[in-house]
Amino acid sequence: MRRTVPLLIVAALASGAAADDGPLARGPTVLTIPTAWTQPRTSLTAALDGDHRGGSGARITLGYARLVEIDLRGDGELTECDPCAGVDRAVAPVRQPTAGWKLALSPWRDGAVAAGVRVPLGFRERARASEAFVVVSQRLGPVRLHAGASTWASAHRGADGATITRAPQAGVRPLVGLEWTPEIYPRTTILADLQWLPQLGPTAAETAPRWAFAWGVRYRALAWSAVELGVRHRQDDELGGATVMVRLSAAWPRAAR
Amino acid sequence: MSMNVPKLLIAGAVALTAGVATAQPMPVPIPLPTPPPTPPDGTPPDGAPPPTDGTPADATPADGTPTDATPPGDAPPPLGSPPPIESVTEVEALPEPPRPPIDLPELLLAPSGAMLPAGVIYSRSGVDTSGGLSSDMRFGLGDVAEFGVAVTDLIRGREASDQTPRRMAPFYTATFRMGLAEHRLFRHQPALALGFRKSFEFEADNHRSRIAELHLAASGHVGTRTTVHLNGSFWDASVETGDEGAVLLHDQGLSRQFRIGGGVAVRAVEDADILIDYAWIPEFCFTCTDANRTRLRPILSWGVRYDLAPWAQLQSGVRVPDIGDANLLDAQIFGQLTLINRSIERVVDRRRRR
Repeated sequence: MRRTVPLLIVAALASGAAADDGPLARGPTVLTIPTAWTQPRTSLTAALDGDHRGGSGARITLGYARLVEIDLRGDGELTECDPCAGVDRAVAPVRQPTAGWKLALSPWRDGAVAAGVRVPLGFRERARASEAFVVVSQRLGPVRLHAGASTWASAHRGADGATITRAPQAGVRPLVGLEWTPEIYPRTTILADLQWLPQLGPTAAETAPRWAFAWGVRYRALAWSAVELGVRHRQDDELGGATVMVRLSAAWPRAAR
Repeated sequence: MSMNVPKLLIAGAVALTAGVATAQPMPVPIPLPTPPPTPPDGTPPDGAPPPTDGTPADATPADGTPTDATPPGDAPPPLGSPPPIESVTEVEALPEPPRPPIDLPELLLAPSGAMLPAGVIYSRSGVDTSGGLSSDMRFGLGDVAEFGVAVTDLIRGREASDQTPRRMAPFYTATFRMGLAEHRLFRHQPALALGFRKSFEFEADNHRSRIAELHLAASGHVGTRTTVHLNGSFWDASVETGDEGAVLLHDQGLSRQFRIGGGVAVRAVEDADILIDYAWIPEFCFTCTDANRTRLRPILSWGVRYDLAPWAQLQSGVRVPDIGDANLLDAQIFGQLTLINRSIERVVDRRRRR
C-alpha cells in the first residue's frame, strides 16, 4: 500500500494535463466534499442525484464575481441512528434543505483556497445541522487535490424529548479529495473523497461525526452536462451497506470546447 | 467619495462656464481695414523687395494650393476677428461627464460614513435562510444628508432567557443621516456621518417594543482597494408588556447603550468587493429582569458585493447573530439586491447647467 499510492500519483502526473477545464470540470464538489474552485464567470449549475436505496437529492449553484458560490440543496447527507450499534443498528437519512455559501480566492497558480458555511433553510426543531469548512484545491497536471477541514453544529430531539446540541468547537475533522482526468480519457474524471459527517443519535454520547468515503467517475458527455457514478461507504457500515449513487449535472452557460 | 469631489467640481465648473457663455450677447463682427492693393510686380505694400528666385512672397503656388502643412481650417483667425460663435454651441453640446460610482451608506449591516449624493435614490432588498425579508430605501439630500425608511428582520425577542429567540418582523424604522464627504474639510479627513434611526412601535403577543439608535460613522480609503469603516452607536429601547410600564434601556446605564462597530471593504477583483462588518442589534427578553430586558447582541457578517451594472449590485454573505456564542446553527446566509436610481440627480444637474 505504501508503494502503490506514490506510484499512482507519479503515473497520474506523468500522463499529462487534462484537455478540458470547463465549469463541470471545476465543479462545486468532488463527489460529496466541497472544492475551492469557483467559476471564471457568472454561471448556474444544477444537479439531480439518486441512489439504489431510493434516496434522492437536488442542488442548484450560482457562481458569481469569480469569488462566490451560493447553493440550495436538498439531500440525505445528514443521518440519524437508533439504535446506533449492534446487529439492529438502523441508520436513516435526515432530509434537510440547506443553503451553502463559499468564498474562494486563487492566490497562486492553479490553486485556490475557499471557506464556506452550510446552514439549514428555515427553522427545523426536530433536527438541524450546520457546517463550516475550509478547503484548499491544487491542480497538478491531470490531478486535482483537495484538502481541508470541517466542523459541524447540530441540534436534534433526543429519545427523551430533550434537545441534544453539538457545538462546532466539539471537533474539527479533515476532508480530502482527489480528481484525476487521464490524458487518454479527457472527458472522464476519477473521483474520491473522504469527510466526516454528523450522525444524530438518541443520546448525546451517540451523536458524533462518522467518516464517509466516496469514490466514482464523472463523465462529461456534453460541454454542458456530466454524469457521475459513485459509491459511498460510511463508518460502521458493512461492505454491503455501501450506497451506489448516480448524479446528472448541467451547467449554464455551457463550457466552450 | 474622494473621486466625487474633484469630478463634481469640474462638472460644476463646466456647467457654470456654459451658463455664462450662453448668457453672453452675440458678438458683433468688427470690420477690418481694407488692405492696400498689391502692385503687379509682386512688391509687398510695405516696400520689401520681391524674392530673387521668383517665388511669390506668400509662398503660394500658381495653382493656388497652399504649401504650408497647416490646413486652412486650422489657420489662426486674423487679428480683430470675433471669436467663433460655434464654440458656444460646442459647450452646450458637451456630453454628460461620467458619473463616479457611489459609496454606499452601509456595508452589510454597519453604517458607513458615506452619504448618498443629492437626488440619488437607493434601495436594498434582501432575503435570508431563516426566512427573513428586509428592505431599505433612502434618498440623498443635497450631498450632506439622507433620509430613509426600512424594514428589518434582525430584531429578535424571547419570552424567557432559556427560550429560543424568535424574529420580530416586520420591524419598521426611519433613518436620518447628515455628514461630510471624505477630504472635504482637509486632506485625509474621513467621510463622516451622524445618523439617527428610530423604529415604529412593534406590537405582538401583548408586548410593545421600540428601538432607537444614534451613530457616528467614519469611513476612509486606505490605498486604492481598501475602505475602513468605524462607528460608535448609542442605543435605546423600550419594552412594554400588558399594562406594565415601559422598561427602558437608558435606565440601565451608558455601558449598556454604547457599542463600537465597523468593517472593511476590499476590492478583490475589478467588479467585486469582499466585505466584513461587525454590528450590534438589540434583542428583547420579555420576562427577564429589567436589567436584561434588552440586550445588545453582536453580529458578524461577511460577504461579497458584485457590481452587476452601474445601477445594480448583488450582495451575498453570511451573518452570525450573537457571534459571542459562536453559534453556527443560527448562522444565516443572505442575498441582497441593491438598486441605485440617479435620474433625479441627472435632471438636477441638467437644470443647473442651464
